[in-house]
Amino acid sequence: MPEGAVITVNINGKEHQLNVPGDMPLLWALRDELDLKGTKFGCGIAMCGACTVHIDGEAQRSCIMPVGSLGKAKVVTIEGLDKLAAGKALQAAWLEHEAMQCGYCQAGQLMSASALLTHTPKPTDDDIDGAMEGNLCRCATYQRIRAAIKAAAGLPLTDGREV
Amino acid sequence: MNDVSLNLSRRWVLKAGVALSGGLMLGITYDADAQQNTGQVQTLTDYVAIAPDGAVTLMAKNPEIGQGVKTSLPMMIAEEIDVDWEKVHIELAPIDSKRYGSQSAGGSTSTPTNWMPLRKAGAAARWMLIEAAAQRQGAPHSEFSTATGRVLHGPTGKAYTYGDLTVEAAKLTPPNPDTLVLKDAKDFRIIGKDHKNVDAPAIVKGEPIFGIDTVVPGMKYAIYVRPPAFGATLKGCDLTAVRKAKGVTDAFILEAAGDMHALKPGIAIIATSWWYAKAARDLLQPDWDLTAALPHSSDVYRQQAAELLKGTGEIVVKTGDGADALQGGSTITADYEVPFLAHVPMEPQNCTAHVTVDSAEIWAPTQNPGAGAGLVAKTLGLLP
Repeated sequence: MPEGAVITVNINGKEHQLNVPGDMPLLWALRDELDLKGTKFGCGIAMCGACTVHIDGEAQRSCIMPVGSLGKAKVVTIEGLDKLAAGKALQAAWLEHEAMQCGYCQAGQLMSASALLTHTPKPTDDDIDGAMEGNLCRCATYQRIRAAIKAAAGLPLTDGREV
Repeated sequence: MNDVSLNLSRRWVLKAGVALSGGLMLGITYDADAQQNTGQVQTLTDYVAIAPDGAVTLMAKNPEIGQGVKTSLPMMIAEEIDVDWEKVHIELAPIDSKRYGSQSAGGSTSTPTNWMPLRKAGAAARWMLIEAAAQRQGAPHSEFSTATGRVLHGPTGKAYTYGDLTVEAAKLTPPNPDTLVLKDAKDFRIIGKDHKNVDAPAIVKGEPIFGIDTVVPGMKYAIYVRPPAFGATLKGCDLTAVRKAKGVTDAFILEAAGDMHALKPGIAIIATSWWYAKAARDLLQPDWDLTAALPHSSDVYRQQAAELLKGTGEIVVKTGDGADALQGGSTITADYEVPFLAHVPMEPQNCTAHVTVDSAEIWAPTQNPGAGAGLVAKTLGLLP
């Protein structure tokens, strides 16, 4: 990507022109260039999941995704989550089951969970664990997050595991 | 929950537009340039404001860090005011120990230490609403009671909504809280019931409620390059490449502020976005002098601990006779070492500052904002 080139990105269904280096991570283009603060900076090295967004429907860590690599990919952030059927259901379930404490990780949790339910409307426990294992919660509300995902999917909330 | 953005009164000295967009407000402005009181919301006490439509705004005095006190502390106030929790709107209070006392999060102290003071704060507002009704009707205070947002006059059956009384109540002087009669626990309607995190609806929508989300118009982003170990000093650092890096507006060496709690020596990089500052930091090759840091390594601490354990410990508490009780049993020996642990919250350490000639306004996620405000004032030479 040559210096000074304009990068076009599609965020939540809207195209934006960015005059930034192509190696700027999507996270920082969202937060500081487009003022979309819902996507969170946690670790910056794709280890915590707080920065998760959808890129063409897949949950991806925006902190290591160069904005110049997106091409025509469609990005959905937490600010656009309620436009997705699974997203809206998850937001309601998150409130009903009080899945958050401090809330800092929850945008990432919701983006991972919504990608899961979009692809797998009736996930198994293993599906849920597989989709969510990269999203850390320092308040450790994992059980409530799991319950909320099951509620949004219309599944029984029974969870036989210890943690 | 009432989501209407309220115009806060002068008594709260809040820059409402800015404060509501950010996280915890750490310092308050030193000049009273808060919004003019529009007459819509009436401030009764430091904790309670009531609008003519009956909407109640309560101050949550302590830092919310996921433990829930932004919800639970105002519940104590609301209980004693005797209002409908659904009509309560909650604001995070600015740091002001004169009005709010200790404002910190730690040691599970927020609930026990604020339990009585906040109930009394609610009872004070209730007293003022009753007094306003008593004065309007020309009847004794003792003839009135309250019922969920209304003041009732027993002898006549007259009822006044809190919204109707708020203008008159706000003109009264709050009573001595120690003279007030609090509710009997059996009459609690809010305390002891499950109420959801008041920030939850904003959290699931990704609204910018965290300290790191604060935006001040025209603000720059700074990265502070710290010493790699406690006590290390900076011998030197070539800043030529950093200053030329994209987005960087300035870079300079920071001198230590002296105080052990204050600024350590290091390098500051200022840029138009956080990413540009971070990319520039990767170009730095600072030359640190680690001499003074050497006594502060984990290895040294471990050795010191091992040496100290060879001596005779000080007996702090002795109950029963352990040595006697263990006679005849088998002995298992194990060594345990615990390192220094960081809290590692998900939100990285960050802080937004708006500094003028005579004021500093700070937004930061912190458990102990008062100490931070004091340190900022001292470092910048401002009156606290």
